Amino acid sequence: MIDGILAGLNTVIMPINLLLVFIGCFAGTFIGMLPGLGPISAIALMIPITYGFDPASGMILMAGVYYGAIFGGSTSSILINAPGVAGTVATAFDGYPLAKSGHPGKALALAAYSSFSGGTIAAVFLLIAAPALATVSLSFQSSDYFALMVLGLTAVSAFAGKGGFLKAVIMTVFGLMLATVGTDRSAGIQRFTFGRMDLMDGISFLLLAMSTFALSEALMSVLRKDEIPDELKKATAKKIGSLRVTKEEIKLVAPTVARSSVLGFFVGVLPGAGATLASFLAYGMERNLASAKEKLKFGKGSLRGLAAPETANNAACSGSFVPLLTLGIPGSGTTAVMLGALVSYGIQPGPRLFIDQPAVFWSVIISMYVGNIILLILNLPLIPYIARLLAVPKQILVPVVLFFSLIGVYLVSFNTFDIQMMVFMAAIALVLRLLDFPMAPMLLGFILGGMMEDNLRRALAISDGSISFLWERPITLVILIITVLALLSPLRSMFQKKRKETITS
Amino acid sequence: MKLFNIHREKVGALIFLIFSTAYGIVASRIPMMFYAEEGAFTPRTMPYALCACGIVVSLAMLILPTVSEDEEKDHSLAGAFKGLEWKQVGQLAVVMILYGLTLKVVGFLVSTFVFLMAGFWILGERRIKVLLLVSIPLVVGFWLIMTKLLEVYLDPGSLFFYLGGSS
Repeated sequence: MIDGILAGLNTVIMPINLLLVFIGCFAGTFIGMLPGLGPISAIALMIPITYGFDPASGMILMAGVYYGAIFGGSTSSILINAPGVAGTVATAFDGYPLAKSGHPGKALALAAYSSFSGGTIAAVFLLIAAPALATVSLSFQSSDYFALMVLGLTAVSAFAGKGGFLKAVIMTVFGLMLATVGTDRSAGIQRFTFGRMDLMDGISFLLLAMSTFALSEALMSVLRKDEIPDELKKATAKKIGSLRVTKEEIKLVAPTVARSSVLGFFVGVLPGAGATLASFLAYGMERNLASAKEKLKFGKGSLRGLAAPETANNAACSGSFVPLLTLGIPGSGTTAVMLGALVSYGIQPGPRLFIDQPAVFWSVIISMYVGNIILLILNLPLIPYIARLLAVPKQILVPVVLFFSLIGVYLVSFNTFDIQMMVFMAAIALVLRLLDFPMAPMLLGFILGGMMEDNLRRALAISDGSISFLWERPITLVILIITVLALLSPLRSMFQKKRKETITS
Repeated sequence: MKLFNIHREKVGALIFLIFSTAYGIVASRIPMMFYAEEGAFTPRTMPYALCACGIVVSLAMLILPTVSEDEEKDHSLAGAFKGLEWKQVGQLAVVMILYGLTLKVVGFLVSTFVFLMAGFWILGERRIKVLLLVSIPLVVGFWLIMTKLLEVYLDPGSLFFYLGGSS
């Protein structure tokens, strides 16, 4: 393990990789601040750029973009109460009032310090949890993997929130359906290709990610006439004030940071939960733990109220890498994009990654920590400069994003049919977005679809075509029981709400 | 106009129900090897299972009461499509399709330059100086990075190849 860590450290501290983390953090912060474009788009846009790199450098850049995007979202949450990313909604609850009361610098600095601390504690957990889980998962069989994938997909829907459960399930199934397009891997028979040669290899992951996120988000901003608020340009361009946080303030938030880091990390590990849920849970927990006097400050610029969600969302980002790196199962849309990138480099994440590619495994983990340091040292003072980029008008920015999305996919396949396909998929995504259907579960379903079918086929072959594999192995059975519970919990709350409504009416 | 007052979630569920049914019909036409027909897992197994899931979930969504996160928001179909800038998005879609069709014919440099100019123009940028100052450096810079630095081949355009008379 020590050798692996040293190999990872050696890779990360190479000047080119340090530069990549910096570029990633900077680009991610900028994209995270833009309304509409989130971390999934930011990472997807980076995939074609990283094709020429070695896998470790590519992943390092993407990890930087991920952190940067979350930090960018926090910046717009704090300065103008407009979160660019869902994971930073809770940051605005106390960050914005604090900034409004004349301390934008302090709010930003505290957010950055909390993120850094959350990332640091989570990185230590990741350092311990990832190899341990990888060792355990070496004993996993096809049936366990199949059950885990079902759990992952179910959990994404279960955490979708009020009213979003069935929509998330539908989108997951849609993603799984799209994954069946192309040549069947075992029989070599074409499915849903309608005789088109271009579809024989299936729909490319990058094409789907780019068209349903980067392309459709850019088009959505045109459709809804979204503009970068002048407020944000003004708030970020002017001096953000003192970044100083006093010793007393640090003492006050230290226990909050410790609690939120642990909570954030474990919520992040859960498939489907992610940074948004972690930040809300941490905020809620901190409010409940606060004294009656302290509780009154929440929502009015409480330092604990700002530190809790910021710490938790960053810790959750690190936590979400655990199932990705150790089981090869992404728990969120963002990690699904990262899985797609790894697969395109020819690397299959899973328990063997830890053994076969220790440099990649450890460099990703260590680069996350380096990303945190870079965010703290460089990004905070760079906020006014990033603001200058925000001055680029939408009429220039949108066609440039469209160009990078289209050419990014074209440069991988050199097939112009992909461009037509992207426009078609983006149009579908646009309609689905207008109907309030979430896109991330579809991407997750798509990426897991092929693997799920392979594991199901293998499990059935091992059990001579009998479905008894579902309950014969204790691990499979336990995972499936958790899946059923996860599936039933939103249904239960839905029926309870309905019953309450019937009683009151 | 009653159709437009339907909850947008129900419309989505209806579309997905139709899609799942069509998916199932196409799945039943997936060719099978003679030896595979008796197998426990065939190329049709997963599509059939997904078709069944799709139909069950979309029916559940159609039948069950709608639970909305934001009760005050207009959730009707009309509300979803009201006041949107469809014209510009439609024009951008056409430009993107044309970009795909011309990329190999006129080459990367010309097609990308035209695509960017058209995109800026559609979104309201009319200053010729800005149009040229953004698109030319971007296209040429990208081309130089790709072809000279990363050694990625970018099509010069078959049209020029034929015009040049090369065989």
